Amino acid sequence: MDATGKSKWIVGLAAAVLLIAFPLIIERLTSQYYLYLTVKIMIWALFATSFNLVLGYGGMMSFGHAAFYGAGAYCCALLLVKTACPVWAAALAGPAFAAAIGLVIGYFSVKIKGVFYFATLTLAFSQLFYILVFKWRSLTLGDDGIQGIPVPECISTLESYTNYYYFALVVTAICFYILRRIVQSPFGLILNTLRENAERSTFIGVNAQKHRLIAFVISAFFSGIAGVLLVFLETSLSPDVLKWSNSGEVILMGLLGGMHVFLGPTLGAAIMVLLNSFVTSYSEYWGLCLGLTLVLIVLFFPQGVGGLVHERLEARAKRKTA
Amino acid sequence: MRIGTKWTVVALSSLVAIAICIATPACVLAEKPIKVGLIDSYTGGAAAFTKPALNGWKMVIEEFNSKGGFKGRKIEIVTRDDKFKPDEALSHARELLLKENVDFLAGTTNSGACLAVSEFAKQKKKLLMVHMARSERITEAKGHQYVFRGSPSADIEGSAGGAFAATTQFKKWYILGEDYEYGHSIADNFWKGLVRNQPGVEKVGEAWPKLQETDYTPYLTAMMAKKPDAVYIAFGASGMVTIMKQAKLFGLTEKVAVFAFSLADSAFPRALKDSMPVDVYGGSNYLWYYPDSPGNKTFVKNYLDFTEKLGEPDPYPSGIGAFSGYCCAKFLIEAILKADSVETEKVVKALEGLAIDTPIGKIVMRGCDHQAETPSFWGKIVKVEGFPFPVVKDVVMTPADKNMPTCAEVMELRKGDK
Amino acid sequence: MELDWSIFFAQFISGLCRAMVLFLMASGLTLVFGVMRVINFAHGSFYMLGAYLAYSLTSLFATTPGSFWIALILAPLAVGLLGGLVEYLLLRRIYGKEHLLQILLTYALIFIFGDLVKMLWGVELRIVNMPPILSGFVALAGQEFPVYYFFIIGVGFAVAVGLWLLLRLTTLGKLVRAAAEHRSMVEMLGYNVNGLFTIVFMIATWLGGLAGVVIAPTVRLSLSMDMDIIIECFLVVIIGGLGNIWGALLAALITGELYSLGILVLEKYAMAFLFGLTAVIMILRPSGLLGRGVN
Repeated sequence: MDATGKSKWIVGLAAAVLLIAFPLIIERLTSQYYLYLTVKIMIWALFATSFNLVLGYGGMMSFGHAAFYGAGAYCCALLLVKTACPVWAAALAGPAFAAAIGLVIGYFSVKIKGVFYFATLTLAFSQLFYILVFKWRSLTLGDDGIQGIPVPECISTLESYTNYYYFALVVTAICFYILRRIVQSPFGLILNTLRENAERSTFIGVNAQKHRLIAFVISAFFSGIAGVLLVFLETSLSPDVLKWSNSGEVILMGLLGGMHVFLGPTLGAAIMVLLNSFVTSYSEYWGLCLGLTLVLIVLFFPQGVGGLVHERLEARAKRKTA
Repeated sequence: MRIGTKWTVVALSSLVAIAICIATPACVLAEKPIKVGLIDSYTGGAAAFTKPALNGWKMVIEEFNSKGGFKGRKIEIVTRDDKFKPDEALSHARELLLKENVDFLAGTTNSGACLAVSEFAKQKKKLLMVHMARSERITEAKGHQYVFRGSPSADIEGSAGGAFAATTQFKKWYILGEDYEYGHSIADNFWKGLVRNQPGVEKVGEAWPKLQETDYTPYLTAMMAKKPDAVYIAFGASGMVTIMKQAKLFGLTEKVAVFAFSLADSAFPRALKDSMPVDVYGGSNYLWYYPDSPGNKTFVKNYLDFTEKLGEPDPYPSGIGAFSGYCCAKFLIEAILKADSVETEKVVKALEGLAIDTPIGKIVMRGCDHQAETPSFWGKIVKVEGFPFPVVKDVVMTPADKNMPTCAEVMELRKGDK
Repeated sequence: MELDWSIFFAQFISGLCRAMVLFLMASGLTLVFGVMRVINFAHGSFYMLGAYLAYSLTSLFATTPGSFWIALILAPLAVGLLGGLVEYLLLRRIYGKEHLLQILLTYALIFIFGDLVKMLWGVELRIVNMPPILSGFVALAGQEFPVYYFFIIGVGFAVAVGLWLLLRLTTLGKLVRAAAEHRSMVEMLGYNVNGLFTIVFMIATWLGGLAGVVIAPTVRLSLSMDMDIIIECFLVVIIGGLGNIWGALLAALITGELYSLGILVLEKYAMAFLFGLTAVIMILRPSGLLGRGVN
């Protein structure tokens, strides 16, 4: 036990050092593009991890999480472009608005039982939101999207991505820390029990719907933060961010990486983003590569890549103690 | 001991890797090609234009390279598929600039994608040559020092269409457009041009089906309910094929006068085959059969020869595709030669006011807003003896300067948009 | 406002047409769910394949008069056979596992089939010509309608009746209904459940392919056909009640008409009606209109 605890610390420390030194290494070795790509992975990882609070821990198959990601992004971007709102306020308003949308959608959705019905209701709500943003041209500019979103100079990506990398790293790390604490808290454990056996939990006096709603809103909030990070990185935004395919993508990341391990979705996000970037610059058949990878995962590693790694590590730790 | 060897191997190999990384750019520098990063939609409906556009680019570039290039440096074109999505386009723009180190950016077909890439080009001070996206905002309200368009904008084409439509004297109009940047942009400009030239026209209704809708028939029946004399169809490439098929299904073209800008382009009759409507009004920025000049004939022949080599012989170059790609490549290359440099700032300077020779005459890149002054061709599409598909019979050519906003107007728009 | 009934009627017919295509698709989707408890997200891919095969077959037999009819017979058959292969090789391995894995697998198939179609047919604009015999008009209540509309509606009703007969009168139908209620019972009675599943999946993909062929002459074939239709189909199946074919028919009719008539009322937000309706039904009656609730 002591040994595994210690090795965990070492791995964590090594990862932290690597992440902090990463921009320096990248700048020496190759292009800034990989720094940009890493930030993109962080954003997707945050989105996927907050989504996993709902799917992996809460057992709710949301098919509408793009709504929260996009709500955070659009709220922040519109405030910055259309009003004189200070940057920090816009950045906070994004996730708050996403959480509010999450509260509305969650209020109706958490009562629903059954994977497909839950997926359908969340999908329907998120599509309504997408259509609203798309069609309300006077406010959102429709499919023209928003360009030239002002970003404070200290995290601007004009000259280099290094500053923004550190900013995103700090934000993501804080969010991960909080999410991890939530998952390990009594609340997180109750959520887990609800997923395993909702009926039995309600017998012992747990308000299932309330807990699921809280989880849903928290998840929406953190998805909104991911959306805000995206706005600052890209400085432009289009309604595509709200499309159902983005909701699907985040599910894929969760399943690919393993939804029962905290860092599983992060791994899934990294695989998807890197694979996409790598394959699309060499071949037009990115879909085929992704599809085949997913089929292999389903047939041979149904616990996801992260789950697989986790199992291997556990087994090794057991062997060592034995 | 074993661990020691392992580490040595790791250390050595990483040293080698680092050495290669550092050494490579230096070695290649001598004959490094000039890279143009072209971002476009190579999947989906737009591909019917983006492939010919790429051919247009390659045709000019190949000739340039075969003559020795620029000071021994050849131009290389690197393409990326944005799948018609703004966020993918932007992502590729970053990758092209940061990883591939391209010297110039070019593309796109989707106007939203173009605006996003243009914003990025402005930030990074890199030249973006727009070859297909039509939204006038690209060169007007959202224009800047580094964005150029070697192809027409929606207001050039739309208002030329409106002016032409005014001569047909239809009174009650209906507008059916695809709900995206291009649809709105071309429809607005068409309407403006029409009202300007024929005061008193009436709009009896409009509808905006979503992009990539597959079934427009409820829209067509709803439109017929308003009993218009004429309808303007503001659709992009892929939607145009579907709507024309369904319009034919309804016999719409026999009941109401149909106007659609790009319909005169060779890509549509070839895609639509039997479903290509006749006796409709269409336009294009280039027609392979007009003007019937030696210059144009040579262009068509050269294009056929070039595409034959690629294994896809194309005797009827598309205006929106092949001709636009051709013009953009020509603008860029002649600017490099004029500037005698590939430095962005110098090429930008050289492009302003540059005139190129094309099969339809000289085309000038206007200095103030970086919009090419391209003419538009409109007319009634009919069956003509000796042509493989319906073509425009009495072509009405409108020069660009009639339909472009003045430089002062553009600057006013830019100020208003910050 | 003066309401012109003939316009209303015209919108109704066009809605009916849309509804029938949706029903062709949704019936297959819901049939598979009813028997195997799997939502086949790749159903749209079979539809797309049907349309592209129709393109190839009509081009191949372009000189033969009845080329469309050849395609109408052969293309869905080919799609059905492919469906059988997919069931045998892949789906069979994931029955009874977590829903999420099933979704992941069928979702992966969308990507794979999408790229395979791209490899085989390319990205050019492709269209299927209208069979000459169906390209005229019918005058009805002061409006002219394409004959092809009534062909689509006819195919839809024929399939509905065919499915009803199949489910009521044949052993296969009885097994399908029995499996939907008590799967283990069918197994205990000594029937080959694996074979039953393969056949059901083939029928479902045949239906998807048929929908693709039927729609082909009215649209432009594109590589996004699969994604464009699958969400709407999925909603139809859920609104109707998972596993219930008649629910799917009802929901398809409602969806088609809602869209078509919605354009008359509030064109700008016509698309939103479907999602709004879905949300309302899910909140009020989560198991769908005719469903009994499946977890």
